[in-house]
Amino acid sequence: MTRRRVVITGLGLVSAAGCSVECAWQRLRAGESAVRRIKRFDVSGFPSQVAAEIDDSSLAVPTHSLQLIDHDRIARYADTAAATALEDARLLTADVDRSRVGTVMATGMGRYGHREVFASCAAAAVDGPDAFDWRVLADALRREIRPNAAQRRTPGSIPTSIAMRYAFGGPTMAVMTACAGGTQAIGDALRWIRTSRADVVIAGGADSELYPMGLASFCLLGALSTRNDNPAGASRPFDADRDGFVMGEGAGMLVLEARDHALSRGAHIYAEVAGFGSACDAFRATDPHPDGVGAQLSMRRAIGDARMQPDDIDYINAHGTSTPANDRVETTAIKAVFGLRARDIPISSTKSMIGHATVAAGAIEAIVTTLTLRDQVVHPTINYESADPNCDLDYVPNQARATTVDLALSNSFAFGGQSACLVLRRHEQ
Amino acid sequence: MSGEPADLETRVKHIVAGALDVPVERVHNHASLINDLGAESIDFVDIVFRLESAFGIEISEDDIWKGSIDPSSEATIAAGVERLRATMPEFRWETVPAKITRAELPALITVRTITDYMRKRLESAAAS
Amino acid sequence: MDDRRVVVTGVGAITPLGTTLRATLEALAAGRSAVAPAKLFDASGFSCADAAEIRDWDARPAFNIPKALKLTDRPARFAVAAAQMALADANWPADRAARDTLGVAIGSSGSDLQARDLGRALAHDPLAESATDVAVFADRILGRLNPLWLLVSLPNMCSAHVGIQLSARGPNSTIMSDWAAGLQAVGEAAEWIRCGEADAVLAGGADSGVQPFAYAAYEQARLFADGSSGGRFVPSEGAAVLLLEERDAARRRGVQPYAELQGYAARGGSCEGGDSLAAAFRDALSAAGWQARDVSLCTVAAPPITAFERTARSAIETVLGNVQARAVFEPKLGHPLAAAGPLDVALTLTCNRAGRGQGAATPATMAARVLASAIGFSGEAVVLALEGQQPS
Repeated sequence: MTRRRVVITGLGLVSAAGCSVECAWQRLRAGESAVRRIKRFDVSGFPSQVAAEIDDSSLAVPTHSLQLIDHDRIARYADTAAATALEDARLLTADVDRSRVGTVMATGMGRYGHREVFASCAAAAVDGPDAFDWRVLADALRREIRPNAAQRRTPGSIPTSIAMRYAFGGPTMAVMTACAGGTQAIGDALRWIRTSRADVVIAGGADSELYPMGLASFCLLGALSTRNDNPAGASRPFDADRDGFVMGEGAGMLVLEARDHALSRGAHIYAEVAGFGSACDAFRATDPHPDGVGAQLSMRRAIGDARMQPDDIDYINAHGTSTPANDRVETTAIKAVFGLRARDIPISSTKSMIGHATVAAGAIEAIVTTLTLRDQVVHPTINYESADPNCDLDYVPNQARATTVDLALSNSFAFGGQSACLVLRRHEQ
Repeated sequence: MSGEPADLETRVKHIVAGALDVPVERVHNHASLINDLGAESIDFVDIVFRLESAFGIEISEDDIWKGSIDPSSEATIAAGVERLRATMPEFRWETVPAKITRAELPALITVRTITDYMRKRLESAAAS
Repeated sequence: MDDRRVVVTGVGAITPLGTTLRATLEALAAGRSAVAPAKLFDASGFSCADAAEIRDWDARPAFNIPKALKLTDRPARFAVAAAQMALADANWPADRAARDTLGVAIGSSGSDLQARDLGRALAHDPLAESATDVAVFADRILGRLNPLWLLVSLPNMCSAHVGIQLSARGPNSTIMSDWAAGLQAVGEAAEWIRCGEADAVLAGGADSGVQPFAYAAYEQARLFADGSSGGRFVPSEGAAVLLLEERDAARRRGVQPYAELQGYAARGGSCEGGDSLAAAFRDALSAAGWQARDVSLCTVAAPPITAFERTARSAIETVLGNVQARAVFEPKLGHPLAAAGPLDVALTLTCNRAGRGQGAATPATMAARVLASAIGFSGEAVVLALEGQQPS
């Protein structure tokens, strides 16, 4: 069965580490944490008060008062990253058939304004918790509702609007496998190009849950680190003293292209997308399977899809959220797939520096893995200070390392046990 | 609200039964939430919320699940487990390792862990 | 890749007219409508006070692990139930091993913010301080909101719950391309099978438009004001799931497929009006190797809104000419958003097997070649080319 080979020709990144790809990559290599005390709104009432927050002024995003806190931020991040990636790939100036360009993105749950939702709900509940008045809610919503609600309620509108803006006529799709979404989108793009459904696909993810309700909902689950006195040290994947993940946000967009198509138009090639795999633990809604069954399946499927063996993997960009459960289970799963050789594979967690960008994380980490292959340098997992006997692999602690990486694996795992993994291959220039 | 031990115990059992979707008859004092009643981590968060709503007090997740065992060292854990073995013989000790580490402590959380904590909190609330 | 072909071997659905496909078809044939004043919430404050709702239904029997129910919203429950029915319909083996590669692809358009739960936490706040003062907001929400809120709202949990309850460990994804998401999930799932990433996938849509934020959004977009010839837009809920299998694997299992999925096309809203649907029709014909005249039936799961109906009719006429067509999703079922597309397919396939038409208004047909499609609010278009399989 012949499949077209697929390469990466453009990158666009919006993250707390910097809004240019190269700038962010330099900071990651240098082991710089982007985690600070949250400034966007008053966090004094929250148990978790730190995040890898994007500086709005760097994006020419107007500073919003609380009245207008919203996550059209997500659309802005997506638009900025997409524009950057498309320019990087020189896709819009080239003689490219736009009817053969697809768009697939993973974005957050839906984009609602704070006031829109909460002023309305508060109005309806004015008489008490059990006296909710739906008619009052309807009136309040009519007053408070901001434009384009029908588009904002569905994640689908973001890839659609990007496709429309650039007149891309190929397939479009929104996926939302939560924290595995960004990786999922790239895997779907890979399949579209392999099967000639498209020649080029702009793929990735954008998310921000860094707004009052987003922060509150993760705090309620007890999922976040509360190490507020040491923001830069709060995200400490695989470390014995890790206590939860740190929120991040942003967008990662990649231009995926059929290799022949890229070569014939002289596009710059960063790396090759070699394989994708996905699975479900089928275990619990939040707890990962203790043996990481779903994670094992995903990793094996991705490696198998690349027609390679576990022995061929030179680097793993871990999901590495810094939660007690994930890091332990991910380690167990890696050992099961890679056997004794697991100890020889450098593993690093980008989230140690830029936190967890939720739906966008997988796409951002795919960009980081791409640059790892280009520059033959693996970035560190920072804040690695005390060893956890259950996490005893080589997490490239605290210091970047130059090393040969020909084939790399990137992992993403989500609530509900969904997982998605990518295998990327070095491109020989 | 009544602080009668029997009443408290019954209320706690019904809350645990509701959160874990098990018949209340199976919710014994010495039942391990994890090993006997199938609890996962989200259920602990859920149980705390239900207790807070039912009893109108704020509960610290760190305090309620600690139970009577001090987790700070191997020695204190061992001592705490010994005490528990003596005071709770009906617990299914065969379902936990002979030497219990910090990671395995949640398996020792029982209905009684909750009831003991709630009794203490309600008594001190009544006293103040 | 060219060797692997995809068939539909099982269908399952739960709708406001019946908790099974059969019941739904019987109700439609009897001329019943599910449209009535909304009960899940009082919608009388909106310009549409009606809904089509699933009533008197217990999700518990569909759940092998009932404890998970507290983490589900309605679409997740519908998805699990429809998936269970699809597996049973396909005579899927009960053993564990068969499930390790069973995939799940569910489409949904959005999620319910659970207004009443939010209200409960924000009660007694006449000045709506929680909307302007984050400290007040934090105090209320962190102190009073059910901590499970996020897990119930997360839209990917539909597919995850199907995986968990059915022990399905194959590839698992949630598609959210607005109203086209459910049908796109079916198309993508077929690609997983064609590419060898799975041998069987439960694919479909699960959704609910019956919640206040959706009503407010659709009212703002004037969708309630613009009824079409066939009826008006009434939000609905439900799920329809198909079991897709690799054709030879299905043969070895000895099951009779409903249809073969011979083409899948998806186009974004990059063209004005109906062009994306017309383009997707052409793509699907090309993928299936059909001519326009080969098509015996074309369905578009568009909501009964003038603008969308016009789009659908125009695209049908342009590409398919005088083909037998249903340009609008059955109004008696309301519009279940992302579930409409797969539900249309499920109803058509079940009708075909029973040898009768779908509803009193449609002539009976043993439609051999069907183009089934769905369009999204922003112009997304997804088309599937299905060839009915005669019993051998």
